[in-house]
Amino acid sequence: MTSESFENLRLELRRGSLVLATLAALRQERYGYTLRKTLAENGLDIEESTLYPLLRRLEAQGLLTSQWREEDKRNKRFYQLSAEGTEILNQLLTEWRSIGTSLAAILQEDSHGNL
Amino acid sequence: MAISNPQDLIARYLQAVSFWLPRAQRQDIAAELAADIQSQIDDREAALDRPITVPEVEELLRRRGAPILVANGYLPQRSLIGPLLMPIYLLILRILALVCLIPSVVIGLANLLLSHSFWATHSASQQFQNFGAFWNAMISLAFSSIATTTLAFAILEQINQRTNFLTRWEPHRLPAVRNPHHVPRSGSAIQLAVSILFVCWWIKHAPPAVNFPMLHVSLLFTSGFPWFFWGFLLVSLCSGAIAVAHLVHPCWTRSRAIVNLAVDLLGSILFCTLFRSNPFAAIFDPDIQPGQSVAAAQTINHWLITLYPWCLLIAVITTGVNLYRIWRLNKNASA
Repeated sequence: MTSESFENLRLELRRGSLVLATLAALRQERYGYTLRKTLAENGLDIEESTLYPLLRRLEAQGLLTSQWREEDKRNKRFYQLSAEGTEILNQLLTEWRSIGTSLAAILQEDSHGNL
Repeated sequence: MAISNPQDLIARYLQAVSFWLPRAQRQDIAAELAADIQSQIDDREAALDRPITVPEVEELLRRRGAPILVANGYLPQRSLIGPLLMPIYLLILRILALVCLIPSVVIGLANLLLSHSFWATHSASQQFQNFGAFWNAMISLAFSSIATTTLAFAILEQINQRTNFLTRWEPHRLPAVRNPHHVPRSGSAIQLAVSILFVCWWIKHAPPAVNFPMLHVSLLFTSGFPWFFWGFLLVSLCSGAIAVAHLVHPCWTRSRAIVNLAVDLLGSILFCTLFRSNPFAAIFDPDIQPGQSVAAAQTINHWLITLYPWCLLIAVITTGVNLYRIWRLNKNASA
């Protein structure tokens, strides 16, 4: 039960950071499969059924641009961060760092209290 | 037939996913999905240094998920009734079950089983048919009530999605904190007014017949009427006295709750007895010919007997509410 709760909370925690990771990884143009591999190599496994709908949502929001192009004799859809996406990514990173700082302060405060 | 070609399996998977996708995006999404699967297979084949087999492709597709689930990820999240309305919807369904469906089943069943005609004049197969018809009616009632409620909430959900009317609220408009023992003075005033009006009308017009001067109708009672006359008079006077007490001190006390239980019990017994005792001997109405006044009274008596289970149910509910109030007051006193 505890491990199940942990797993649910872990997934919830990661879900929010996946958007950030995806936007950050797409500062460089990538197609879906290589994007997923990049994220997995950096410790952020994401299922195909989550990644592709997410890419479409981000594109619909104007944060990504995409184009079909041939590579290795196969047609692939390449995604890249748009100008608006870059701006949003910077804002999100600021927010992310701010959350990290707050959390670190809270944890430090707590450890002092415990001591 | 066994599938021997991995490409055939992939084509089937893509077709199954495409079926659930919106038409405008179908081709584009399927092409991207195909490219992703193919890249994964290429990687796998390079690692294995051999062509991929059908069972391996099967495993790969299985890990991707069921076609309908994969397609669902691309669809906008929709729900007939959203999380905001769901608790209200469930509450209404519970109220519906408690106030309408369960009483209908109980009363309908009681009416069916207690009717003399059901046992006396019908054969076993006819009884079975009647029983089946009863349950059919009840199931239809349940389905139609639930369907109507669901439809109403689905429409509300659509309206809310467009106007957000449910999320607009003002803290100062929230209802005051409820005190279960408090009795609103407005309710007590109405109860007192009704009691006074009833007592005046009852004394002036009742014995030996109930007159409705505005309607020019008189109902003549049978010989047992004096009991009802004094009984209802007592109940009304006590009800008025309780209302006065609540106006002075608008809060339930244990003794007041016990008196209220006794009064309600007496009222319930009087009503239930009245409904079952063929109380009316004749009815006098300008529209009814003199010779038909007895027959008209009998028709009313018959209606009253038909309504008796409802009267009994209301009596049980009223008693239950009174007992619950006393239990709660006792609990509070002991705490």
